[in-house]
Amino acid sequence: MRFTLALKNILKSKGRSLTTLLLSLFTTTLFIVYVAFMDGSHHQIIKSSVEIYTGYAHVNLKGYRDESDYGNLIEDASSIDEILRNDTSIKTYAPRFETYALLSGDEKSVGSMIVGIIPSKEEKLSKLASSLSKGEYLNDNDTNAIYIGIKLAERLKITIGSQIAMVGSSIDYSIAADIFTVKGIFKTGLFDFDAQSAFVNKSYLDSVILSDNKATYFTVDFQNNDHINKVTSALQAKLPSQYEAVGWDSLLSSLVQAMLVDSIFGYISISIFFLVIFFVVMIFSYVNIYTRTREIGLLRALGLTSKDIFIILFIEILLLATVAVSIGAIIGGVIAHHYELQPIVIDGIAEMYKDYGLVSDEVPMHFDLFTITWNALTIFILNLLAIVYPALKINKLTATEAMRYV
Amino acid sequence: MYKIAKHLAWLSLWRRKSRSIMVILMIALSLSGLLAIQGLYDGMITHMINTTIRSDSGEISLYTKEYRLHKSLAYKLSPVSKIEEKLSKIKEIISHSVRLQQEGLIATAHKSLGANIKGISLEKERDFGNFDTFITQGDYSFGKHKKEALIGATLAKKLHLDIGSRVVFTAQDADAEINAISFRISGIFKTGNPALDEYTVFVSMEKISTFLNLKESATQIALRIQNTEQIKQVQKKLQTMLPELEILRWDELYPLLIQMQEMMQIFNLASYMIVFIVAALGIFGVMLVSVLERLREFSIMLAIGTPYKMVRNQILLEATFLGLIGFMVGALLGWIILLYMSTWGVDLRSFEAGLETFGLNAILIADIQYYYFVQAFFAVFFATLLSVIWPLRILKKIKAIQVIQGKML
Amino acid sequence: MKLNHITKTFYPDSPKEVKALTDINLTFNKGEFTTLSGESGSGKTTLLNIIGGLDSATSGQIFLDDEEISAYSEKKMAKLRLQEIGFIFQAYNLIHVLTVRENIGFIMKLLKFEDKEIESRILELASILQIENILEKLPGEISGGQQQRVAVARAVASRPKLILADEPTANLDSKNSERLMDMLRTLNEKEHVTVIFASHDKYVLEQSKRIIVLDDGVVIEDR
Repeated sequence: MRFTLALKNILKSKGRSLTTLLLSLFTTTLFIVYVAFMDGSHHQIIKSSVEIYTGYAHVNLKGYRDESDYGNLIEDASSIDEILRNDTSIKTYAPRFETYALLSGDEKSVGSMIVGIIPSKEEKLSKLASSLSKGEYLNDNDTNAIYIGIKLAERLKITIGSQIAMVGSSIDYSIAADIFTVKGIFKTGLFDFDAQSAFVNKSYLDSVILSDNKATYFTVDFQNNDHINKVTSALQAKLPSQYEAVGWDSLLSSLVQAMLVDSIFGYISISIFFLVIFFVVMIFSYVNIYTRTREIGLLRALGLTSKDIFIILFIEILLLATVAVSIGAIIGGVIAHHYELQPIVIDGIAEMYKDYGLVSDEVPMHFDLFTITWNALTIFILNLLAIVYPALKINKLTATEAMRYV
Repeated sequence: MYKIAKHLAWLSLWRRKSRSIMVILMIALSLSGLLAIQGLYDGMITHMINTTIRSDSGEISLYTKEYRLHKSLAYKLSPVSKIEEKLSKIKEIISHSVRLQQEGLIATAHKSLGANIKGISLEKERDFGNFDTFITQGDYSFGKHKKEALIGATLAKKLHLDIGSRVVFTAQDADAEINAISFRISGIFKTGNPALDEYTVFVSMEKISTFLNLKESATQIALRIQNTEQIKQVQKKLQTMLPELEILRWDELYPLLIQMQEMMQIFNLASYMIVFIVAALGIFGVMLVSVLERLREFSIMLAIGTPYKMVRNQILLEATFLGLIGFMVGALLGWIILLYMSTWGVDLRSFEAGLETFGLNAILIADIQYYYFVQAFFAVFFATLLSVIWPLRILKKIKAIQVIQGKML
Repeated sequence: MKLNHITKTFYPDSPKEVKALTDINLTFNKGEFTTLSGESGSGKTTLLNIIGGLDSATSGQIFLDDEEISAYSEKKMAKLRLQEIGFIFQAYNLIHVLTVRENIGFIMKLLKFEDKEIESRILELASILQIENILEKLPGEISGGQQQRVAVARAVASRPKLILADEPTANLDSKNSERLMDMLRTLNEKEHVTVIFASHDKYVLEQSKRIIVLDDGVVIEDR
C-alpha cells in the first residue's frame, strides 16, 4: 500500500521526479568519470615510474632505504640470487648496482647516476631496452659501453660513439675512473630519469668499482603484482633477517603521497558540487512535499501515522535514487571502461607535467568496480539524506493543520 | 510602486521561511566553498611564483644567448661590472643578483650525487628576495672565511648531511680541468623550487670564482623590478641596451607556472558555472512553486488593476533578495575562511613529502583577491536571473479570469 | 455605462462551442444598485467579467462615459480597472502577506495617494465596516466574514465609480451576508457608487433596486 502510494506520487509529480532523477544521474556519472580520470592519470604516473625503471619491488639490505650508500650494500649477491631463483611467485628479477659519478664529455661534466645492470635480464624487467632512441641497447658481453638518457646526452653534448670519462668512487672509497663509449641513447619520457642516468654492463662496472658479487638491490617482478603488500611479505619471510623486500608503494612513497594530495584536492573541489546537488534535491523534495501538504493531511486524517508518511516519502526517494544512481553508475562505468581501453589524448599534457612524471599525452581512465561502487553509493546516500529535513518538517504539522494548508 | 513590490517581495520571502533559508544556505555554502578553494589554489600558485621569483628568476633574468641551451661556462656573462653599470641606469630595477653556476658531482665519504654549485653574494640575495628566510637549519652565512656552503634541503636529506658536515664538489673548471673543492655545510635552505632544493649548493662568489678559475664572470644576472606593470617595458629597454644578451621574464623562464595559473582559472570558471547552473535549478524550484501556489493571489492583484510590471517586479525581487542574502552570507563566510587560511594557513604537514613533489610548502597560505567576490556576485546574479525566466513566463500566460473562477492552469 | 450587442462565445468554431451571452443590450446609470441574476451557467458572471474588463466580448461594444472601453488595450484596461472599478470576489480575495490595513490601502498606494489620506480613509472605512480591531492582523488570522468586509473596504477605498461583486455572499452565513449588504448599500447611498452584483442569493436580490435576470445568455427580465 505504502509502496503503491509512493510510486503513484512519483508518476504524478513528473517535473520533480525527472529533475531529481536527471540531477542524480548526471551527478553520479560526473563523479564516476571525474574519479576515473583522476585515478587514471595517477595510476598512469605511478605505473610509468614503476615500469620504466623502479620495478614492482626491491630486495635490499635493511637500512639501505635510509642511507643508500656503500655502507649498506648486499655483500653476497649470489645468495640472494639463489633465494629469488627458487621463489615460484617471482617472474623475473635482476641485481643492480647504483652509484653516482661525474661524467665528462669534451667540454662539459655532469654528475649523474650510473647503474650496473645485467642487460639481458633488464630487458624483461624495465622499459630500458624498449626506450631506445638512438644506437643500440647493451648486451651481456659489453665492456666499456654506456647507455645514457637523451637529456643527459644533450647536457654532455655527446652522441653515439662519443667518449665519456667517468670519475667516481669504488666501494673501498678509492677513486674509480674509466672511459666509456656511448653505445645507445634512450628516451623514457621521465624527465629527471632521462637527464640523470646512464647504464653499463654490471660485470664490467664491477671490475671498475670493485663491486663483484655485490649489489645495491635486486629489482623483482612477481607473477602477480596486484597485491604488492602480500607478495612482498611472503618474500620477506624467505629472506635472511638483515634483508628486506619493499613494494613499489614504499619505493615511490613521495610520488604516491603526491598523488594522494592531488586526489584530496580533487575530492575537495568536487565536494562543493555535491553540496549544491544535495541542496537542490532537498529543495525539490521539500517543495514537492509541501505542494502535497493537503493530501498528506488527508492521509493522516485517514489514520496513517507520521511514520507511515515518512516511509512513503522515503520509498519515493529510494526508488528515484536507485534508478538514477544505477543508470548513472552504468553510464559512468561504460565511459570509464571505454576510456581505459582507448585513453583520452590531451596534446601537450606530457610536456606540461613532465616534471611530475607524466610520460605520455595519452591519459587512460581507471575502471575499478570498487571505486565506482563507492562513488555511486555516495550519491545515493546524499539523495537519502536530502529527504530527511523536508520529511521531518512535514510530519511536525498536525493532520488538521496540514489540511488547512493553502 | 517599486516600493510596494519590494515590500511584498520581502514579506513573501519570509512567509515561506524554511524554503528561503534552504535556498540561502545553498547559495551561501557553495559560494563560500568556491571562494575558499579559489583562494587556496590561487595562494598555492602565487606562492610558487613568488618563491621562484625570489629564489631564482627575479622578474627578469639575463643570460648569454647560448647559455640556457648548453649550460656551459663558455657562454658566461663577462665582464659583470660593465653589465652592472648599465643596469644601474635603469631606475625601475630595485636590486639584482649576480650568480655563477656549474654542474658537477657532490660527494660525502659514502655517497655522491649530481648537483649544481652556485656562487652568490649573501647580502645581495637578501636584498634580492630575502633568501635568508628560506633557511630551515643552521645560519645564513658562509662562515668567517667564506669557506662554508648552504645546501638544498632535499639534497641534504639524500646525502644525510647536517650542519657542519663536510662535502666535496667535483666539477670542470673554465679550462675543462676537473677540480674538486671541499667545504662544510653552514645552513640548509628550502625554497619550494625543486631545482634549488634538490640539486643546488650555494657558496660565496669569491670561492667559486677561484675554483672555476674565472674573474668578473656570471652565468645569470637576475633583476627585481619595482612594479609588475613595468616588467615588459624594462625588458624592452634592456633588449635594446644589451642586444647580445638573452633577457627573459620569469614567466618565460617558468612557463609551467603560468600554464598552471591559467588552468586553475579555467578550472575555477568551470566550477562556478557548473555549481551555479545547478544552484539556479534550486532557486528555480522554489520560485516556480511559490508562483504556482500564489497564482490566485496574483490573479486577484491583476484583476483589481495592479500593473503586470509590479507583479513581475515582485517575483524578480523575491529571487534577487534570495540571491543577494545568499551572496552576502556566502561572501562573508568565504571571506572569514579565506582570512583564516591566509593568516594561519592550512597545515598539511602530514602530506609534506607529497606536497614537496609539487614544489609546495606543507602549510598552504590562501590568497584573497577583490575580484573573487565580484566574480561570485555575477555568478549568483546570473543564477538568480536564470531561475526566474520560467516562472515569469507562467505568470505572463495566466488569464486572471480563469484562475479566479477556479480553472487553474 | 452602455452595453451594445454583447455576445460571448467560448471555444468558437469548435465542436465544444458554447454561446455564453447572446446580444446583450443594457444601460447602467450612475448610482445604481443592481443585481445580475440567474441560474448557474446563465452567463451572469461572464457578463460581470466583461463589464469589468477581465474578459473580452466576442462581439459588441461597451461604452463608459461615451468612451468605448471594449477597444482598450490590456494595459489601458488594467489602468481603468485600477482607477475606476472596485472588485469583490467570492473568496480568497486578499494578499496573504499584507496586513488588513495594508490590504485596504493597497490600491490607494498604487494610485499614489498621500499617506495621510490613505490612513484617514482606512480608519473611516474600518469604522463603517466594524473592522477597526483587526487592522494589524494578517488575512489568515481572521474569519471569512471579516475577510469579505476587508475586501469590500479595499474595493471602495479609492472611491471607484463602479463596484463589481461576484457572489460576494456565497461563502458567508446569513448574518454576515446581511451585514455586508447593509454596508454596500450604505456606501451606495452615501458615496453614490454604482454597484453591480452577480448573484442568485435571495437576500441580495431583495436588497437590489434593479434586477436583471439572465437565462442561457439572454436577458429575460429587467426590473
